[in-house]
Amino acid sequence: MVKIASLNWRHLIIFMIIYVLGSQTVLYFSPIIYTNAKFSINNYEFKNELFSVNFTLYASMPLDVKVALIPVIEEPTNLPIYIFYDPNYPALGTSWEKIHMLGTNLRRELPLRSFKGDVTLITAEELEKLLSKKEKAIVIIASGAFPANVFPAYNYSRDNDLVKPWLDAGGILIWFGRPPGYYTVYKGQIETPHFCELPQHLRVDGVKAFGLEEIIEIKPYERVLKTAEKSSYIGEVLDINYNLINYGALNDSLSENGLAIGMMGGNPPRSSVSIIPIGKGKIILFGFFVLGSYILNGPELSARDIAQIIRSGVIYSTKDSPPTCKEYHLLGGQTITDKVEVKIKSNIKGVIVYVYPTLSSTCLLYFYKFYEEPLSK
Amino acid sequence: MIKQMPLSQTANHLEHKACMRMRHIFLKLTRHELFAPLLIGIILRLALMPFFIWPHDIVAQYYSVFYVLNHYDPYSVFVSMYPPLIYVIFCPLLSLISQVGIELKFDVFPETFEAATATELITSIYSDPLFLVLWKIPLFIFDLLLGILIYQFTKKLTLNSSKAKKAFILWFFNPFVLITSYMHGAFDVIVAFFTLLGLYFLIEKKYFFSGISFGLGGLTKLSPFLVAIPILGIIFMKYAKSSLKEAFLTTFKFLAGCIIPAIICLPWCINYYNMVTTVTLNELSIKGGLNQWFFAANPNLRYGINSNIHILMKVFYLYPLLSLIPVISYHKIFKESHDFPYITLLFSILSFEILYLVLPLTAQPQYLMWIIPILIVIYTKKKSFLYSFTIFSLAASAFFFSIQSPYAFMYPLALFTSLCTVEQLNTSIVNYASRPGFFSLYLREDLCIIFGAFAFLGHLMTLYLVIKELSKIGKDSKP
Repeated sequence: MVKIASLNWRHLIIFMIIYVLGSQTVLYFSPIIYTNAKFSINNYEFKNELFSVNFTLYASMPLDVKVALIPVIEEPTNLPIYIFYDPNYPALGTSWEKIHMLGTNLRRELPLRSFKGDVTLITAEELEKLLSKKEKAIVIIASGAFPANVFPAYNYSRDNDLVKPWLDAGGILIWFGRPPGYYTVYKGQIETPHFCELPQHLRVDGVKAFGLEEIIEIKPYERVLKTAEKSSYIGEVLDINYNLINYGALNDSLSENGLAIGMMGGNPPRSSVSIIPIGKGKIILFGFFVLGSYILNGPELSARDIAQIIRSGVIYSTKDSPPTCKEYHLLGGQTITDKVEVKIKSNIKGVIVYVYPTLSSTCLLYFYKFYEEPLSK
Repeated sequence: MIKQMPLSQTANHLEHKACMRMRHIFLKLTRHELFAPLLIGIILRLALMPFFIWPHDIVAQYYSVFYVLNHYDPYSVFVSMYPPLIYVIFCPLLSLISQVGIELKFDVFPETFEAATATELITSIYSDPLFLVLWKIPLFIFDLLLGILIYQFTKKLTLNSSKAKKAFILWFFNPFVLITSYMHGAFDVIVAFFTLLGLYFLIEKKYFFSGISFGLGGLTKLSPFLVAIPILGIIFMKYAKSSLKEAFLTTFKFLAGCIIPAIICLPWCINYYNMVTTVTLNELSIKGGLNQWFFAANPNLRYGINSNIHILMKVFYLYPLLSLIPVISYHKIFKESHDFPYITLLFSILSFEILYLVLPLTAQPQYLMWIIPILIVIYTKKKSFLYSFTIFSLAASAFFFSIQSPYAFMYPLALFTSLCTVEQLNTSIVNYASRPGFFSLYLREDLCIIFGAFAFLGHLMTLYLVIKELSKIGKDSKP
């Protein structure tokens, strides 16, 4: 009789323990098991309105990577990031769970890119304190409405508005959902089927407070998700995947004031992600909400897009000095040496060399360095 | 005089001997009563491996593995909510594959987005069939081992070879088993294997090995650790009747075994604990499933129950107290030793049932796999447990397909073969997802409630059968 039916299970358990022990030891102490990728700059040069960088890339396992050069008008700092998360308020059209997941994913994506700023969830009270102090920070509001303690309800009055003065002073607001200012919510309210029709919402007047009424097409709430298919130039440079355009900024208005950095599509043409300057600050406008986990426009990929936007320094880039980018595919153990260059205008303070793996890469490699233009000193 | 054979002849002779030996083993294997079912079952599994997957979970697993290989632990980067064993098993294999230059592809496919937004469970991120096969190889090994363990366990318990074969077939050809491991890609088969192996060692009175087995299971998903609590109590009670010293020694052996795997993976276990307490607990909600919360598949009822989630969560902390029920009943009912293997199986089922009803907020279909092997083994002793086994298998299989239709498992087939197209799958899923229901907004919600209720009925029936059997044994034991 074959021994199939009388396996010695004790031997199996001993084998498993040895395997687990060996595997953990190897995972902790042996570098062979891991991917190893390096990016090093050999030399760089600012010459005749041109910045060029010569570098070497190496990966022990297959790597897909992009090398981007982003000219900026000021050196980005590690601003603190606050995510508005207060389940005492209704999240209109989305859920607090998704917003919490967005925060969790952002806490992974930013440190991977050596971003040193904190990512903190804040309540409406904490948001009020932050805005009233006009603290320079990045605030993410993904719940589709301002809480009433920071933005007016019923009648617009500048006295009740803490958001616009904060933006004017240099704050950066990352916004998801319906147009900013359109809805305002109170503590303890519950979203009902007719909640959006309540008289408390400022609607177009609220959007006008930010001067966005020409930039976003204001229309009734749509259930159907509208997606864009074509990547904008900067969207391609940064590998931005968010593609919802229900309330995305109109391309025509962005051509005058603003930057399309996401996907483009729709009629009239809109951008899924855009940067709109307001005073000294900016609104980074996403075309709609964060959707469910692991789907396109979900918290994982949206957090990746936010991290790409914040870390790449694209917030401080200008239209007349667009970034440049080159993609590389390395086989395991391959080394590549190459040169990339970007044109810069006189208003540019420096150039960021930003290296990141594409979504399909199984090997992680991030690199960030700011090179100051000598003449700008 | 000894005549020496030339070297080439010796080699030929050895080769011939080895061939004969292989032939002998092969012939023996083919004559084994499990050969035919094994062969058919393996072919079926290999066919399902590359092209079927539950998209949502595999992305989470892929990201976890991917970060481990890039020298991050999966918990500090918030990519896994499962204990570490699956990564400890899988990562060295995947690293080896990458080191030899085999490239794994994982990419965003925006064309799946239409269906993804309809159900919010279909991801837009897919891996190539090679990754799916690699991911399922450990599941296949544990599935095979579990089949053999069921066969051996049953044979030992009943001394009947045909009953053992029947038990093996019930496992190996159970559609629920095939769907869970090879279409869904869930690793609950590893939990089921270590749990049953732990019980097998327990019955053989090898308490240290039993503990290790439960410990390894608990490092895959936490449930075996939780079931080990009442089992520990039962071991203590069993020996405390004769000698307290022996009782302490035996429970210590079991406990030591339980802890050893966790000690080996201690740094990851600590990070896992920290992540669960800081991140996951904030995201808990009841969404329906295969226990008493089945009705929460209806969004209105879900809202009602989740608005009281923090009160409900306090009840879950009572689990250690509730897990004492089997221990106390063991102490009360059994004054002297009886059919210890049978009683152990009954108490383990009771412990799992308490776990299903108290702990998981949403009992997902794959969780039922933890109890299925025990039900198969006990069925060979008591036929009525076949009802529980059948109800759980049918309810869980049907629930899998009800969530977002069977098409949801087929995206790799559409993306990497020409057998069907993504558009066809999208249309089928969107049509299914938007079909109106009878008492909920959508049919899929109705179906989830129906099959969830069916499984809940299975839990009630199992509890009834266990309590009936235990009280019968208790009565028989009275003088």
